[in-house]
Amino acid sequence: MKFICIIIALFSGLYAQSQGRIEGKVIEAETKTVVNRVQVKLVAPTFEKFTTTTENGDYVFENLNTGIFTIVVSEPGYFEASIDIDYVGGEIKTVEDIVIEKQQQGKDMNNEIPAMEQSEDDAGNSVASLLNSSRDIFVSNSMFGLGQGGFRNRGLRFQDQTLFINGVPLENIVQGNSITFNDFSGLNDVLRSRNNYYGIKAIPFTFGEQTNNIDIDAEAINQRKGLRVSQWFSNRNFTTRTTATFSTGLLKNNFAFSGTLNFRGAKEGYIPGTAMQAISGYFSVSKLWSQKFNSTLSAFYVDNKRAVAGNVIQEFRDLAGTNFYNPHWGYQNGEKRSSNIRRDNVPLLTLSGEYKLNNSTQINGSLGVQFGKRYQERLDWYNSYNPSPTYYRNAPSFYHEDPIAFNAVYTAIKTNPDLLQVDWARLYEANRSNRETVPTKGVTGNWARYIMNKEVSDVKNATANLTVKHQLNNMVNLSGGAMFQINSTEYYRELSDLLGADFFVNVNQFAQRANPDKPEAIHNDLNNPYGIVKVGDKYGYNYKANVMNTTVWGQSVVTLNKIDFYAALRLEYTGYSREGLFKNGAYASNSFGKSDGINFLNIDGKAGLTYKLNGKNYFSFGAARWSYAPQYEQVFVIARAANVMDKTASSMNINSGELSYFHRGARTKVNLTGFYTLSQNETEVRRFFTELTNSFGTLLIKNMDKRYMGIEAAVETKILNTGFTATAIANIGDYIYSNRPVSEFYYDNSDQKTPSETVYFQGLHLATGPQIAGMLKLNYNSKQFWSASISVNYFDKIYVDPSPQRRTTEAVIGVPVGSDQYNKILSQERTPGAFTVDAYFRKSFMLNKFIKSLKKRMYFDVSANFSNLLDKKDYAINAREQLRFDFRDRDPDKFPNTFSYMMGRSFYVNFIYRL
Amino acid sequence: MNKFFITFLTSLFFLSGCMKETIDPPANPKDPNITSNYTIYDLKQDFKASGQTIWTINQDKVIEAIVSANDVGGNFYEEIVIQDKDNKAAIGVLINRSNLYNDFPVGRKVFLKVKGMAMAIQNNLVVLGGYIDTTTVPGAKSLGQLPPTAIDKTILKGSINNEVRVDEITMSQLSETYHYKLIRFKDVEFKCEDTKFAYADAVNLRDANRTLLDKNGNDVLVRTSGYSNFAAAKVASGKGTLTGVFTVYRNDFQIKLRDINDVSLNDSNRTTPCAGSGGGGGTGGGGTGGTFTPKTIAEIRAMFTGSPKQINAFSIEGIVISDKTNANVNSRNIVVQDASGRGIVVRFGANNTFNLGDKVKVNITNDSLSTFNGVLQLGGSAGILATDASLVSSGNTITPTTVTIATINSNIDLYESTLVKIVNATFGGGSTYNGTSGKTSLSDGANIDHYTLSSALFKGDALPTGPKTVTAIVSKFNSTRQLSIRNTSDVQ
Repeated sequence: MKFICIIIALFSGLYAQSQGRIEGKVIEAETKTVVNRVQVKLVAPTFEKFTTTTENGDYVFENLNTGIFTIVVSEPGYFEASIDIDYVGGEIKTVEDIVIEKQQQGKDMNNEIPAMEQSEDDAGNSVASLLNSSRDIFVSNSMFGLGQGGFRNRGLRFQDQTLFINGVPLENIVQGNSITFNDFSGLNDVLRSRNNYYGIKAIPFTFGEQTNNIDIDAEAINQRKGLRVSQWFSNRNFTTRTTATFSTGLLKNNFAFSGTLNFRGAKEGYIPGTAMQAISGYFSVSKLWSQKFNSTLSAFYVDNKRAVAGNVIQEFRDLAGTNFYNPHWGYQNGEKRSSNIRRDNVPLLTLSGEYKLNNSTQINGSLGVQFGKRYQERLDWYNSYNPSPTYYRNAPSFYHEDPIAFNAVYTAIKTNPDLLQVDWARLYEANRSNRETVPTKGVTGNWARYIMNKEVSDVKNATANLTVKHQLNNMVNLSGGAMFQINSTEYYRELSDLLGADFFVNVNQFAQRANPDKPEAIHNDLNNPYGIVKVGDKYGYNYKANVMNTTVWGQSVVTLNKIDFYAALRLEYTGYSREGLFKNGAYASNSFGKSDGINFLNIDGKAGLTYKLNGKNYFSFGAARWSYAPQYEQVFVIARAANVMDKTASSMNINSGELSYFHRGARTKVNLTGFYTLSQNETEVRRFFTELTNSFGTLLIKNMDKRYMGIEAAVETKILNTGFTATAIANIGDYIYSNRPVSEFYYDNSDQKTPSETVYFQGLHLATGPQIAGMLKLNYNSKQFWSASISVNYFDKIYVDPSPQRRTTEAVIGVPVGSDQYNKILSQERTPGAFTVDAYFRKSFMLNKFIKSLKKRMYFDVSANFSNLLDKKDYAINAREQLRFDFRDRDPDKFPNTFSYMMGRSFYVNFIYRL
Repeated sequence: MNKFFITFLTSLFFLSGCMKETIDPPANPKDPNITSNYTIYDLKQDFKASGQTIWTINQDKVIEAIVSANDVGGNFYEEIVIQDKDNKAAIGVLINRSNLYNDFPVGRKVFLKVKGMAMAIQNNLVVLGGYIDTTTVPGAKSLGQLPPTAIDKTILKGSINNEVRVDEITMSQLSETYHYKLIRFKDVEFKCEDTKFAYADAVNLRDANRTLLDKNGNDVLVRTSGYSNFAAAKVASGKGTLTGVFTVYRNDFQIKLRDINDVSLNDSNRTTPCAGSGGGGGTGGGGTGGTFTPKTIAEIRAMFTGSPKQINAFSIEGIVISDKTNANVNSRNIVVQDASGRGIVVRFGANNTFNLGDKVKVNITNDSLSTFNGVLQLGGSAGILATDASLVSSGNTITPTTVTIATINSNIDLYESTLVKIVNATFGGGSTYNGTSGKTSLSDGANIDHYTLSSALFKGDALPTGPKTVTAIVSKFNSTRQLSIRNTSDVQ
């Protein structure tokens, strides 16, 4: 790092500073007068400069090199205003006047942050549109418009992006480093100040991941002053949302306060049986200690509880007559009760401070503490028939060899659709007539056959993050930081409803059959064999995952007249350990107590270069290498059962390059990026139950390589003097498995794993949403404070997630090579693409025009959004092969693919009152 | 419009074309990277030398062997047979998993890591298993199957389609050396009487022995499981070659066929001609119009093993306990009960004509025995043909069994589709029989649902109050137990 700094310093000394400048004026909108002594900020991708307007409202920035800048005026009492400029080094550029408006005239055209739609599949990985904040036309439109169709930028994993709030990353570092959207959902009003750095770029606040790198400033001092109350109605996952937000701005005593409260709820969302209820709250207080130093304490509280639907095979959807069939609910005493509920309640506290050492050095520090619980509540059963209506033995097709039985089952379901829902009454009945005596305990009573249980994660997480930005001279900007995260999460199963029974017993029904030679294997906890479990008690598994992560990074950016370049480096040190709180009978010797620790050291680097042909045309190139430690579950492969570690687990590597062209014309903007990414030595973990051995277990797919390549393109053009803007974006990608990984199955129920098997995945496509997607949008912005847009989206080249067990030598033994059956087992289904149409409308009113007696300015906005106007209901946004494979007949149709579909026509209307 | 915009749209159009379907064909299975240092022959010798009858293998050795028989024909169950590469010896391996033929097709090479496995002499036959089981019969040692989760680490799978060796011998050569070996006899034929039968009893799922003769008058048993997929096939009547696995059961010598392809007795020129049956009689020979073996309802019910099956050439005779006049029964169904004390729902293809008290004979010709909403039913959804049922007499009665609801609840399968009488039973859950969608309840201390069809004539009648003596047919709706009265005189 030091070496690089010296080189850059030397290098920068060889160039004379350019003599150009950018100058302009700040004007107040209504009075058309100049505004003096307001702060003006120049934002470049990698640095910021500040100045203050003179008595005449003028401002000047000097000593700048070619680049794209944004000049921002954010003055308390005014709406933030900004202008984008393309600057060629050396030129003296006079910028058009920046017009700032007192908090009035509804120009607050910020789109709503798209609601964080609940994940609707069991894997929990479908986060809808991300926070939409990039100035990049491709990024902003792809996230907002294409996200609903399952589009993922560059086909990448959810962990290939990062998000910081007040300097604290919101990621689950135990489970896959995905952004924990549910921890700040509903707080949209106070998360408006944000930046997104997309792709391989110099990023001022972190080293960065592959796609979105989002920095949200939710400090009270930066919240817009005023009151904002809004009410939304929709037919989506939540039908009502009420929000009230109040911010004081900076008060005379140099304090600022901000708070928001939000309620979202639905008796039933778009999909039947999906009730939801969420309360979100936020409170923040900032203190400006001096012009150099301010600090903020913020609390984020979200309690989000919702019933979810999941992937289902087409046969059941056809029986139900709708693609939005949800098997997880059933009537109990006339009310719809769900058997699949999720809840996230993990509050966050942040303490953040900003210290401006001098004009060229700024230090930001943050502390974050997060603690709370997440759970998924579902049915569990003991020595009983699987209660899921979509259990494969309930399908008519299970009897496909016997047309009579097929018809009987088919007719039974058709004439009694209740068979497609959970039969709560039957579960209660079974529970009330199962009088048994528990061995060794001597307790007699109704031993539950069916229970509701919560898979709980009890999270404790702390983060400390320090970032330093230093402008060495007008050519060299340095930034860097260090972050320390520690997390201890307890994972356990908790009984939540006995459904009429007296008790449940902490034994594993499958272990007996899997290990007839090991009678003690049936005990989930040998420290309390045949433990009696009642509501609120832990059973099944119980362990603590401990994760520690330390990151140090540095970056330097050099800005010259024709060329910008940067380089960055990150060191990451990660440690894992497990502490078993149950002594599992199948792993008596290595399940209870603390495990050994395991550590990984990873080094990442990236560098890039931008060539500035002139103020309008730019070419840039970036290359990066990331190295990621294996995730916790890839090391502690059967963490629920034992301290067993895959000691061969090793880091994965990602090598990526991108080449871009930008055009910034007066009317037209163009982005064109080509990317190529190789991901190597990746590991995937899938957990499932195998009937072959009657055991739950973990399938590890290791040493997997993926190749991503594609083009991202976007054009935006203003249709002269009409108020219309047309936008077209497209992503043409090709994302494939590029080698043959190996798989190993670890059993939960016995101290065994299967030998490695080759998985024949080479050339198959990744199931990361549409690989081809595009959008055409026409937007109209009226001077009468309304705007409207209509867009057409296109999604295609979507593949079903392939099952590793089906792509093995064993899966095709005895199947003639080249036969239809052979090809069907090995081929990968491509699901149909779709066109969808969305529309948006927004209008603002100033209430003072209608009610003259009002003393203060008050505003009322109405916005409405219609998605999927053509009501397309058969577009599958998630499709998977079942992990279960018919090894008896090797019939690939025995366990068909499962799907979930994009919502049909939906809308929201939002009413906002602002003071 | 703008030139950028137009160029952009046209280029997209071209870029999004042509893609081809990919498959990544798996290679043939290879042998694992492990060297064998032991044989089945050695293992058997070592076992014999131990002098034990049940024994845990301590030898840290690897046997390379080839699968010679499995459960593909259903004649072996949870067992595979393996032979030494040179076929010096063979042995059966007991494994706790069905459909083993998927993992272990005949001709697959396997590598057994025998340390920790167990073996025993069972009925004079030495077999290999997973461990010594002391819990199933407390105090006694028996051979436990290889547990499911131990299969993969114990039997490593290798290449497929290896040569399987067969010993071509004569019956007089059979001896211990040949235990579990695949042997082949030439010029053999089944005993004449046996050729009238099938290989086993596929209906009652019973094993059967058929006698195989050679031209010298020696004989050996061919034993076939009632579960095998060729159990119902008629025993071959010709002379020829037969292949099978040689085992013993105590002092009986037995040949077990792997599947029907092991039988190649096509020469009608037998050594010992059979009287009457001539040149082959033909299997199949049309089921309908044939004779029907009378069965009790109890026997018919016993044939149902959980999944729908076709049954043929039986008949039942029973008394109708359902009352179509009062219509609390599907008009295509009757419920009959017979002297065995058991009852069953018979479903017809169309509305039937049988009244309460009719004695009915039903001929079963390839009809389905299956459950409908949990209730065992003869006739499936297609139903019995009207011509297959005949009226024997009218005006018969079945005396209902007096029981408590608790007894019914805990013995539902025994009482299903029979007539019962409950004393001191009180109705609840509605003001009329219709209740909630036909559902009311009946209680004599324990509870059970009472169900009235929407077609029942009395569904709008007021639900009787106070304790009553109730006669009703026992039924189920999936796992929910329920009773249904036939008419209002059932409530006294």
